[in-house]
Amino acid sequence: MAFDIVLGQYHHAESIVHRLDPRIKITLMLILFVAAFLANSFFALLVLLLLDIVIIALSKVRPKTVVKAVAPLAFLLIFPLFFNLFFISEGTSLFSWGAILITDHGAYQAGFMTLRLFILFLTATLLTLTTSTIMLGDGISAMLRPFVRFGLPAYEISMMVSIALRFLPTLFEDFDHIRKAQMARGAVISQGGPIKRVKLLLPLLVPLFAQSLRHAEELAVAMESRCYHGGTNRTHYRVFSVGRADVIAIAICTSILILMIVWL
Amino acid sequence: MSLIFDKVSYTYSSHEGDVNALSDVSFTLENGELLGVIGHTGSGKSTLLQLMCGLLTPSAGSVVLDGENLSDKKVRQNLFTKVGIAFQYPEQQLFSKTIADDIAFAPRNAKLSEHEVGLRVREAMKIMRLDYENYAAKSPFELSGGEMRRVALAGVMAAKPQLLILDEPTAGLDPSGRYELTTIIDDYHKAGTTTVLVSHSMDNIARLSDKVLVLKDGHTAFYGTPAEVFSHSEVLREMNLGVPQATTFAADLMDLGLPLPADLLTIDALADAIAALFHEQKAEVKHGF
Ligand SMILES: Nc1ncnc2c1ncn2[C@@H]1O[C@H](COP(=O)(O)OP(=O)(O)O)[C@@H](O)[C@H]1O
Ligand SMILES: [Mg+2]
Repeated sequence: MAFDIVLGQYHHAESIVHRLDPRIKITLMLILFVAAFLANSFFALLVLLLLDIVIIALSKVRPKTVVKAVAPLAFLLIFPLFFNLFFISEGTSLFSWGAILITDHGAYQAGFMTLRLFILFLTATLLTLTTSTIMLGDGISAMLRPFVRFGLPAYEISMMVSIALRFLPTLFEDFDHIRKAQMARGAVISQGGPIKRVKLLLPLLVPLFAQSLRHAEELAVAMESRCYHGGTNRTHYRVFSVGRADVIAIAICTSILILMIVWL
Repeated sequence: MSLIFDKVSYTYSSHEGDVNALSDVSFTLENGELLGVIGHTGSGKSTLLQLMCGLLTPSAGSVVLDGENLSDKKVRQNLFTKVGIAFQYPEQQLFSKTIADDIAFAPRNAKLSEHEVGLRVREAMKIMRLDYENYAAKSPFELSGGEMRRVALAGVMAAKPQLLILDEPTAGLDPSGRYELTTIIDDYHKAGTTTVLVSHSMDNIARLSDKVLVLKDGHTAFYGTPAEVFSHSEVLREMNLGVPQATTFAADLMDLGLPLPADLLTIDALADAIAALFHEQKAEVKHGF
């Protein structure tokens, strides 16, 4: 059944961004992450935002879909906004009322940190929007493979990421079903003090947990019945190869990173 | 409880565009009747049911329960004491430590006295053929699938709904579980509860329903008495929905030249008709000599 969850989900389109090698796309994301952390001016962040917008345009994913995908994360932006705005007391005062003091420095920091976090979310979202969970999983496992000899469970990590992304919409769907079923039995979802609230949530959370365990059990049986035994000696149907577009994409992003370090 | 759907449409909107799950559906269900709903996966059955119990409100048209329009927010408040719904796989909603507690959830939410709640629980368990002494204190999570299903349905019945809505209640049960549950539903409806039943078993729909609604892509394909609806056997087969076994068998016999009546829907009716034919012929044979 269709359900309006876009967070972490793949959206198919025929685009150059979709066709990029997943290993390259993961690397690009990491480069942009580093660039966002190194950026120390608004201008630098705006360059990165512009780059993300160019990627969205190239990917042919609808802007509305991108907005929907980032929106659930938006509430996390409140934290840098809030703390920087109210807890920085250096700089000249812009507004003060009782214990509340907002300074120009605080406002600048609030805006800067919020934009930086937003760019991180947007960049990560672009990766999941344009890379199927299978490709993403294969990409992660290919990139982590060199570390296997140091004991890193590379294959297991990539499998976990794939499964988590795959079951995110299922989790929301289950939650919706359970919520409706309990509402039809007269459940009140939010009312009263904190202890009462937790008690009211039990009729939702216990079935959700039970249902997730059922999914996990079914998935385990399905995997075992197809002789799944982890990553050792496993060959792949898809063999990744780096093409011209991949090289160009890496070149552009690396140049921006270097520019960021040198000038901005 | 009477239920009227008047030109009801429902549209889900998502980022990928709108889905018209239901378009222009109308029907009237009188107090005490049973409405059978059939249709393919995705034809809008579950959406229809959610409109009946106020979990969704129509995008257009109106749903009227005993003269009250469900688009009115005040009417939807505490509707759960009048309308009970069991979704597909209702056992997924179980959460309490004991079966009795789980069944008591709706009556407690209706703020009934503990004494009354206890009575409701016993009554609902009796209807669902769950032995109170045996089951009440058990955890719902240590039951078999079929037992969990019955506990969940008891949890819906404990609210004593005047309109009972069941979305594929027998899905995933073994034949004996299906048979038992169908019998329970039939008895409960005959005791006077207006019922809406979604099922993929044409035999059960034909046997139990007063009215049948066939949905196709959110539109009404057919609506009427079981005899009327199942007379369109060709179209129903094309829709991959099929007709009751008895109807198919009767049609085959008629092709072989047996003069059977046209609207045989249940195995009992078919058996009676064949027996009547047999007696008639025996009588003719006797006269002949
Ligand atoms: N929550 C939802 N969001 C978006 N579309 C939905 C949602 N629920 C159902 N639909 C769509 O509405 C249509 C009817 O679905 P549903 O009522 O569940 O049909 P049925 O119960 O007959 O299988 C389907 O096309 C389905 O994909
Ligand atoms: Mg359904």
